[in-house]
Amino acid sequence: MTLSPNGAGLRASECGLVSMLSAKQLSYASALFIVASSLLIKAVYVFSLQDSWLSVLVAILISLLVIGVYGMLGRRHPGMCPVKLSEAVFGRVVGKVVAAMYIFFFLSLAILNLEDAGSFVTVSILPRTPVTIVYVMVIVVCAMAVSKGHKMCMYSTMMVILVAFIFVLNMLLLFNKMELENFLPVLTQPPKNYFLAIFGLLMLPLCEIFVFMIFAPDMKKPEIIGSALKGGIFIGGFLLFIIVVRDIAALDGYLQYTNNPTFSSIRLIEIGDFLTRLEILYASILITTFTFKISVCFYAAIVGLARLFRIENYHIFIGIFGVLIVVATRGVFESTFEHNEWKRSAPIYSTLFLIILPIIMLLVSYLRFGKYPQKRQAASGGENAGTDGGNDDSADYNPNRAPGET
Amino acid sequence: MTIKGKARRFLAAALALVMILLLSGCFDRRELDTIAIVVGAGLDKGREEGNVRVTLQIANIGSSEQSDPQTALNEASSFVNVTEEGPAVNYAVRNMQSKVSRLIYLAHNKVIVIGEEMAKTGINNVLDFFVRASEARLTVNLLVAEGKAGEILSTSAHLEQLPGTEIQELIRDQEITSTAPIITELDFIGTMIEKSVEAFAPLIKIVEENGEKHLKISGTAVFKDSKMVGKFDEYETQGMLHVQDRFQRGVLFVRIQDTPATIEILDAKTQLRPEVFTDGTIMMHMKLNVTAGLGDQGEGVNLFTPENMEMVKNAVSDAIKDQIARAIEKAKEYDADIFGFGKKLSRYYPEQWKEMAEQWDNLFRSVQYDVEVNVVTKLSGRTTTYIKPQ
Repeated sequence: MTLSPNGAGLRASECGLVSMLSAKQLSYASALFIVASSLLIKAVYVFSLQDSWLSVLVAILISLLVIGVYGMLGRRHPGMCPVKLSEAVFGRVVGKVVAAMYIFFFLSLAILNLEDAGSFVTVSILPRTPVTIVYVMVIVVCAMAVSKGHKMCMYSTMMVILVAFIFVLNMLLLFNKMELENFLPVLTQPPKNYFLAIFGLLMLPLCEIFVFMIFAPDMKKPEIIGSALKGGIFIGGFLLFIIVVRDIAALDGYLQYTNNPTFSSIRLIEIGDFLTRLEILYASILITTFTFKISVCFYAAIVGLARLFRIENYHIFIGIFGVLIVVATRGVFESTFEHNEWKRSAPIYSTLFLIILPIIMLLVSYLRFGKYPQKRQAASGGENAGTDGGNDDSADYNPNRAPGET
Repeated sequence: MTIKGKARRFLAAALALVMILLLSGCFDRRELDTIAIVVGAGLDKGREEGNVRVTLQIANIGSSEQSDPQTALNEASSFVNVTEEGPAVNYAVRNMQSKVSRLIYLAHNKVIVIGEEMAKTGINNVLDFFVRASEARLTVNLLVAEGKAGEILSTSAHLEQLPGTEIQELIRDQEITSTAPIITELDFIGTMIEKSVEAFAPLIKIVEENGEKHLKISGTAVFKDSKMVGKFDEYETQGMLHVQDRFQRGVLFVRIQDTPATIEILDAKTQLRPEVFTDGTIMMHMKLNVTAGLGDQGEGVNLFTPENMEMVKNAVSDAIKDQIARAIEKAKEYDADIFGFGKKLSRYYPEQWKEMAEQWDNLFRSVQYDVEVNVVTKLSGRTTTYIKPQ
């Protein structure tokens, strides 16, 4: 939606409709989010080997269904972030508990991703640098991004295009090392392996973009957050597909042994004597996208907390939570082995927040509010959602929109 | 607002500067004069049972920088070889550090040479380090030495400054001779870890000519699992490279109606298609498309005529078929499926392969094959007939 015709109804402050997120911006931001974790995926190769590209396609299809659930939630309760959503759906007490669980989830995502980025840097690039220094550097940048609020998502389009360009370039440069035969034979693993591979992909890179629901109040058209996220799945999934196809074609049997298949395949690039050592490109993309991902999770955690306690200004949390994340990341895993162990159970942990709770929310929302929750909520009058000040101006262009926040 | 804006900008700039200082990776900063750049690694069997003897060739940067042709002869050598024995490669390399003043730096390593004795006892344990080390690359060339790897690395180079570089250049020359396979560490490990294909590596040896020692790359070391089981000579190697579709360019010597001639193979492409018959017979169909040219010819009939070119084509086709037959027969002797026949089967017959996999060692010996060679001749050279005194 462009500027609403009754612009007079807009807020005078800088948080007006103009600087709000468009669906496209959210799509690209979530695509970048997916790309970050795609660069480190390993489990899918362990389980489905040369059929990983099939797992990616199926996972994308299934994730579209899951995103459909988020989309329905977004349509039924437009402009509500997960915190407000759980309060609106489950009522005050249970809702607050669920919201707190979500905040913890976002915080844990920030911590785990920081761990990922840190261990990549120390294992592959700077083996003797204390990992805390890496954490602090990343968190300082993230804190700067978080202080900008939802604006941090606005420029991800450029980054996605850059990343896509580098991937395609990598693929072209690796062409002499790729063999189509590496994709054979097709579908020879036991079905359980495919299930685990698809499940892992679904939970780790793809459905994690649920975090972007935190930006629902900041969208120009919050009702279409579902389709915005689907756009993200398409772009991010396509890039993920490119990565997986390239790795399979280039690495063949070594795929199962390497810790980081994407990094290994880029290390293979050798055009003549001069075009070598391109992994620095990969490393910089990885660190950039991970910084973005951590920023989003960080933002989601502290903004969620601020909304839970109805604190207007979330900025007070930035410093304290930045320190908290660094300290927690230091202590979360004792070694790489523990981290690898965790990666097996991580999808199950995420399932609760990314699939089970959203579906329960949708069901409860249907049971409590029927087909048109907006009307029921408006009638029940601020009991659930409208407590922290209505959004009168936006009601001008969307009379059905539930009172939320900007 | 403006002051606040300025202050913020100043803060941001200060922060950026601090980050520049910190982000350069201060803990892993390595300057050129503090690292010992390894250009070659040799692995030999140690004196004690189960030990490995590691030789690292370190480039002496200082001496090669000021290599004036006149003083070069009297100067210190452009490389230093350091040897250390230990129960494991990483252990030995770390112990070696006490003999080397600079930090051993593996990222520029060009070749890994494995001594024959070492190769025969199995090399998966010693290669682990080169796969695991964060700075080592998998695109390093891997060779097997006839004799000791340490001796190969200490044979002084003739045209290059460092033996490590010389070996790498010699391997690169195989692109136009195809008498030894060009193998990177990744190729080797990829074939070693799989059951359906066996590993192989080029052979390097020292030859003495006119009192001077030269390095020569020729032939193939054939591995079974991680142990070297045999060797292929150049002729068999060419056949092996044809089956694997790794043949790039090379020469063949043939006699056609008593006319000696060198035939240049300019290009060779092989399509390998497996077929499993209902009675369990495994058949490998090979179809080669070869582009050949006349390299030179001696006295006899002029081969550069349309009719005689047909004879050249037949001679090339026969020679290649013979090379392939010799290679496959010898591989069957060693029980080593270096051609990846098993891998082809696992890809095209995944169901049957599951049963075959366990007894593949036996089945490999019974694999049948047929070869079809399609030769295209290309004009090469500037003459149309041979030189003969009238």
